[in-house]
Amino acid sequence: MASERFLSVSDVSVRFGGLAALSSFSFDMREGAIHGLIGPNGAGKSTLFNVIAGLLQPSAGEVFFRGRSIQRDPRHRRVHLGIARTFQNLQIFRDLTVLENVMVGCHSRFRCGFWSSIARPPHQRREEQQIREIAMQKLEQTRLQSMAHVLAGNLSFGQAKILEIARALAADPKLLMLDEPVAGVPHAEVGHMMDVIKGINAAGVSVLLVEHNMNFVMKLCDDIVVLNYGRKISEGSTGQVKADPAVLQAYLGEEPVDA
Amino acid sequence: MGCYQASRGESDARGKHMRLLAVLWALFLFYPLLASNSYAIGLGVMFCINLMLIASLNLIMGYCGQISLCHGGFFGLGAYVSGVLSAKYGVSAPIGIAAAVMLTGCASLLIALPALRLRGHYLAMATLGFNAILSVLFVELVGLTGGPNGLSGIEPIVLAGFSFDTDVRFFYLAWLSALVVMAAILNLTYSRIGRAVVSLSGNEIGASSLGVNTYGLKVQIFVVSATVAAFSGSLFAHFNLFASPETFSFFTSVLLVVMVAVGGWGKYWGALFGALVFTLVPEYLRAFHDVELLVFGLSMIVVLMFFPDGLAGMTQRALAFARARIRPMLSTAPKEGPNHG
Repeated sequence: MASERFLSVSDVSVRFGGLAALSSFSFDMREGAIHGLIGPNGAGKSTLFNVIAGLLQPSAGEVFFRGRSIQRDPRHRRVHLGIARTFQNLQIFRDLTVLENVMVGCHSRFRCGFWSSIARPPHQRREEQQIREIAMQKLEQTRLQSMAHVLAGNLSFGQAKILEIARALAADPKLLMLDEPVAGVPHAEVGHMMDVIKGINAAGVSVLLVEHNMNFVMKLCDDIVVLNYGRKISEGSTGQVKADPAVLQAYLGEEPVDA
Repeated sequence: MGCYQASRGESDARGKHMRLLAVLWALFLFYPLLASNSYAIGLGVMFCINLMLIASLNLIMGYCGQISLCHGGFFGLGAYVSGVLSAKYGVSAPIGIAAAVMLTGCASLLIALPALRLRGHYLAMATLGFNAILSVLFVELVGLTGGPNGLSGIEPIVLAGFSFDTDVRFFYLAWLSALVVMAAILNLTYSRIGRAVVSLSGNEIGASSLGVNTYGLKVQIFVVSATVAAFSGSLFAHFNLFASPETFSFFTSVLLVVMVAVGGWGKYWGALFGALVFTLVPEYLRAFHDVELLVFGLSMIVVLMFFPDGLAGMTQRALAFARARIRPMLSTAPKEGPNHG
């Protein structure tokens, strides 16, 4: 039974001092879906991302990925297991070119170590060639290929967001976690971002995303989880969540009882 | 199609540096013919030794972004281990050098494991402390090291019956060693490991979220850098046939860091410029006697203030400027990233 679950967050709590960023939070995500995670600012969405990616150890609870607990895996190991992510505030390598950024993304898929890097035997050169080809292919997939040799620090904000996605894809993930993919992206580029994410999902990658742009979330996601104050307040298809009074209350506040 | 072009572009950057290195070292091979006396040849040897020292420090500081203030200490550990084995126990130099490299590798691993959990100033303090410990050992273990008087009686290197006992013979050994180290570092920076190293220096969270074991890689590069320093240290000992503790003091470590900066942080040719300055400038400053250090320090400050990316960066920009003036058609050609400059 456990093996059927793709991603399963079970009873996770995270406390920062006296503040409970997440309280006994549980949710399951099915393979192949685009799953949205929404909630007001400070609801615990980024905290949950950090717990799944291994940047934060929860005070209680456990995370399962493809049927096994990943609690004890350090964050770089989780990439090898098939979890890749992007960041709300960009974490690109500004001093590397766009292509080199994506080539670093391939890191977890290849083996050549220190000595073969120095001696450059034929198998190392083949590997380098493969890394370059995969990276270029990811840039083509996200339509960034024309920028391949530009320094990443010179990209526009929207392009840098796409670059982070291309870089995460280079790790060949089963699960791609996107932290606010269109926050701060110009309106004209939002449609492009949606196409990119749909294309990734169509290629068989499950997507979990946090986003404040409701229009974007409602159009793109199959399922949605709503968080507020570190707790799950609603869950289901986009239609179900839209109609849930608890969600309206969280976003718009309580109706005044008396004037 | 697109991929093929990209691959050409990338390997060309490495190939370009490699060809330049080959040309420079081919010319450098004739240095002993031009050098008039053994003093000048000695400078050539010291240049090679300093080059390996600064290039290896540039690897951990410039490329990997980790401060190390004990490079002088590792240099000294290499010199003293092979020196003591040769002078006091009569161990043949190749075996002594191998032992020095391995022992320094182990020592640097012991310091790297806890120290590289630290960042920034804390890492600087931890490595500085280690250099202080080594300096004290060099002075206090009088029975082994000769203490403040220095260690004498080190034997020259003998390899398969061939003795590197003249300046010219030793020059070719140092020449070859420096070539191997420079080529190895170039290959490393244009590889999967090298890209991971540069990526973690810019953004550790980003690198780890792409599957790079950042802590493990930092430890590995730190140890590699220390062993290269130890190797140059043992060459130093077997060249001068003498070692004295002040050569490897904390002060040397600081100067080496300054040389990395003067050459250019994380620039491939930075180490070459740094080694030139480190080898030649003190010789010219001898004339200033007591104010030698003052002049040296001031000129370093001037370089760093006006050329923050060092002499390598300055040369790179001057060449780009000249190229743009001479052949305007080429000025639009895509430029590679500055990291490997």
